[in-house]
Amino acid sequence: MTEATIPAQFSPPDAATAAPPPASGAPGAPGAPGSPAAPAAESRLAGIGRGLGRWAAALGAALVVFTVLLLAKGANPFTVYADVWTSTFTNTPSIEQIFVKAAPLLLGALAVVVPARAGLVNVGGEGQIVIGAVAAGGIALAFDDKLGGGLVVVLMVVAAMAAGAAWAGLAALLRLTVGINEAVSTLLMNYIALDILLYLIYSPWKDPDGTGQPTSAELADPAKLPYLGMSAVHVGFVFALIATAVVFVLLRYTTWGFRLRVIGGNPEAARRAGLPVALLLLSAMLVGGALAGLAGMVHFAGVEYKLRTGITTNFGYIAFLASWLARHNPLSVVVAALALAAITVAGDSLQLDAGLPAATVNILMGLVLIAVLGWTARRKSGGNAR
Amino acid sequence: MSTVTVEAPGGSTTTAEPLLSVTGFTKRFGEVLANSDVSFDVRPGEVHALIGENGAGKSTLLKLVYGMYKPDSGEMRVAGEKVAVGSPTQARALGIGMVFQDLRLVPAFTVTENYALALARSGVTIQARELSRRIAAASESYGLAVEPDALVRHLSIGERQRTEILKVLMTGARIVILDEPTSVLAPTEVDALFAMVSRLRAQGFGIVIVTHKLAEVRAIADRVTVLRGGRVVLAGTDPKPMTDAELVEAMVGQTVAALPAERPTVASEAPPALELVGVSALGDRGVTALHDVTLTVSPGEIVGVAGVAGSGQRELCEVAVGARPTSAGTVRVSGRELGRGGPTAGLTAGAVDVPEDPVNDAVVPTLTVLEHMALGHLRAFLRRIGLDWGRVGRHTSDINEKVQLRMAPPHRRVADLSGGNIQRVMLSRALGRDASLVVAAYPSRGLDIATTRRTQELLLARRADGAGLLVVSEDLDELMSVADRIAVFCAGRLTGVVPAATTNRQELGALMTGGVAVPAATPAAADPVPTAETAAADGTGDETATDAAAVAKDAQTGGEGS
Repeated sequence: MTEATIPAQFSPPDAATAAPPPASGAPGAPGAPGSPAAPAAESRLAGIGRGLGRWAAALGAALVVFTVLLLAKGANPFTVYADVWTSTFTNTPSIEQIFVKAAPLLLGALAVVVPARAGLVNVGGEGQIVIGAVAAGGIALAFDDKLGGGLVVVLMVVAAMAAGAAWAGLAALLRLTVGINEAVSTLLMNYIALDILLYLIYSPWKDPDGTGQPTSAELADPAKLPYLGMSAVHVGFVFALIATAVVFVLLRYTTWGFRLRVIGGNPEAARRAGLPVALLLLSAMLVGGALAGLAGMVHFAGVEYKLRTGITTNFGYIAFLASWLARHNPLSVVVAALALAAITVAGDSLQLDAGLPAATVNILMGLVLIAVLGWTARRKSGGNAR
Repeated sequence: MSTVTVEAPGGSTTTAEPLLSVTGFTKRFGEVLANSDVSFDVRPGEVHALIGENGAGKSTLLKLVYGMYKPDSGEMRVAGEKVAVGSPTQARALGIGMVFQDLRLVPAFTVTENYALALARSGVTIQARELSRRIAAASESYGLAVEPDALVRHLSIGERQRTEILKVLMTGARIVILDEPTSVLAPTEVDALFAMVSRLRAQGFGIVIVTHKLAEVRAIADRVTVLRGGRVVLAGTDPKPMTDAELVEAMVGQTVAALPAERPTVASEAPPALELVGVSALGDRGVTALHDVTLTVSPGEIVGVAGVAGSGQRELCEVAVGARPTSAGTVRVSGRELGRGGPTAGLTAGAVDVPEDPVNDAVVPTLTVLEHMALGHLRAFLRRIGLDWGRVGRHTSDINEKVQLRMAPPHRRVADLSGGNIQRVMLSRALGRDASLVVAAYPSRGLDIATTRRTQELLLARRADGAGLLVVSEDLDELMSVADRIAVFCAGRLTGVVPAATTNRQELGALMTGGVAVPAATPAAADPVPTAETAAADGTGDETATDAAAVAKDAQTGGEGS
């Protein structure tokens, strides 16, 4: 072989033998029974390594593009990054802020994770968060000065989760009965949820003693979520971690989680295996909605204390990104939520210290998302012959 | 300097300069030697069959030739010139064309638009009219009927394949590689394909055809090369004088025993495994695809189902396991009426199936083999929370022990399995359990010879256990050797039920075209055979009449064998 050969573009079969119908004789393909487990473990490790490498590369690329934008804006990227670093990660209040913001983000992301397991796209986190906050607000208005502290918080949690579930459940029902795609219906219902909030805070629930701003009255102290120790982080973050653990166990170890995965992978196979597909889809959406509702309650009772127009600050959408960044893995979502929370907090200092417009942080977030999704996308495995 | 040794014993082929020759190709994937010192050549005007079991290295060889893999050693010549092919694009430039078994056409596009994708030169606009004229001209000159303006999704699989072949020819291919072209075709379409291949051979193309159906090899190939374990065990030999047994022995490395001829009758007091009474059902397009079918499968009986593709086999199988609602009639599995219970009712009553299209209907790509085993019988593995994976694992190894189908290891993701290996999972799952009704659609699809034989043994074993089996196959030989009775469908109607032992291809062919069984085949009075609902008079559903006419011919010539 004297000629220069051009490198083959295809990796060996183990990486990508997903040829759909009868591919005769892929070498090293299964067939051989009891092939040792060692190679699989090894390739899994290698896979994780590759995954991390790609993440790092993607983040790096996003930062490079962002640097160019900073330069175009006339800022010195090095001082900006240094300022952002010191103001975000080197002082306790900022770090606490990251955890405070991560709580609703994490819950909102889990609200995407669970339906995604069944192949559903829940873009309605924003609306479900609003509705959750509204429900918690309603309970608080009615009871916060009448009931003991613990009880009113429990009631608010229950009401918020139920309301979020109902809001998401509506979208699921629309899909199951008249076949409206849930990605569209959940998105549209976000606007309806916001309008409900606006109506309430402009008239029936408007704080009579307020300064003219359309807000509800501030929560009474028993209804406010307590802080963790001496910190400025409220217990909502603990709620979020508990929810993560519960979701992880539900999806990983229960029959319900397994069934959702089957539906997500192939609904027809699920139907033929005798699974109650409609019920499972509905349940996935209900659980997702409940988690988003809890996110709304946590942010409302932990930070805002008043229902106001911008109460969610787009947490629902950022959480959606977090779930996609984590590829809908309930554990990775914790990291993704913290990372996006950090970017949000860093965005505040970008705005304050570097004098950059508020939208800058959205650009950074978008860049990170596109880079990570683009770079970590697995090669699509096998379509269908027909 | 030709490095090719020609071992063909004369015959019809000439020893012209090979269009393509490969010498000493070796390709290793980690521990696996996928191709070891493989030599192979194709001459102009010949059909060279490449056969071998799953994993014998056929696909690797094709991918090496087509530039998808790079050989570790060995050389390749095209028309005598030494070449190194680094990519499919280079292979195409050298005149090597590949027709993949999953045809690479966009269903929503017209034929012309699909060709535009493949033939796109520089330039922004697609010269549709010009291209469509060129397609028509090429279609004329190669004798391959292709309609440039047809939407691909309206074409049958056979027509799509023809479209794809013409496309490959129009890219300038002189060497046409067909990768298991018959695996997706109905018997009639196989005949049409072979007629087409013969025309191309007459026009001087070199054709490589990959298959593992021996009857096809003998029907179309001038020479055959057999691969086993990555090595050439039979190089460029004329297959005509070889017997099936010889070819099988070359492929498998050992002789494969014939199925036992004796079939003890199985006495059973149990209710019929499957009872269809006046069943009609709609197809996917909302048109009645199954008309008033009455059919019984007794315990300890195998009923084969024959018919031209699309005659209602799929709907029949789905109705039998509850996966498709009926529009009229009653379905009972082991005496339990399925009614509106759906697949759950079928499973509860004891029905299992090997679906016609596992990838779309039964496989969850992201799940492992083990998880599929659990999915087939979820209720058996439930714990208080979650599933008892330990028990699933033991159940799976028990099944492996019992069925011996060499299923892929339990931790493998199904997305990474080939079609044949997916089929093994489906078969192991369905045949490894004590189900009272087994509905198996094309059980041997994608399987090699030894596994096909093993599968047939398993069907017979389940029969001996007292299960009732409904087996759909396109291979009439398979049906005649496995089934007790054969139910023949035409255009969604049952046109006859004949005893497998006394029937023949002519009779089946006649029934497949909608004709009436010849008197000799009428079941004996003692036989508890339900009378077939003949569709002779009714004029509906004639759209398959032309297909059906062709199958009568097929029934005589024999489309395939195993």
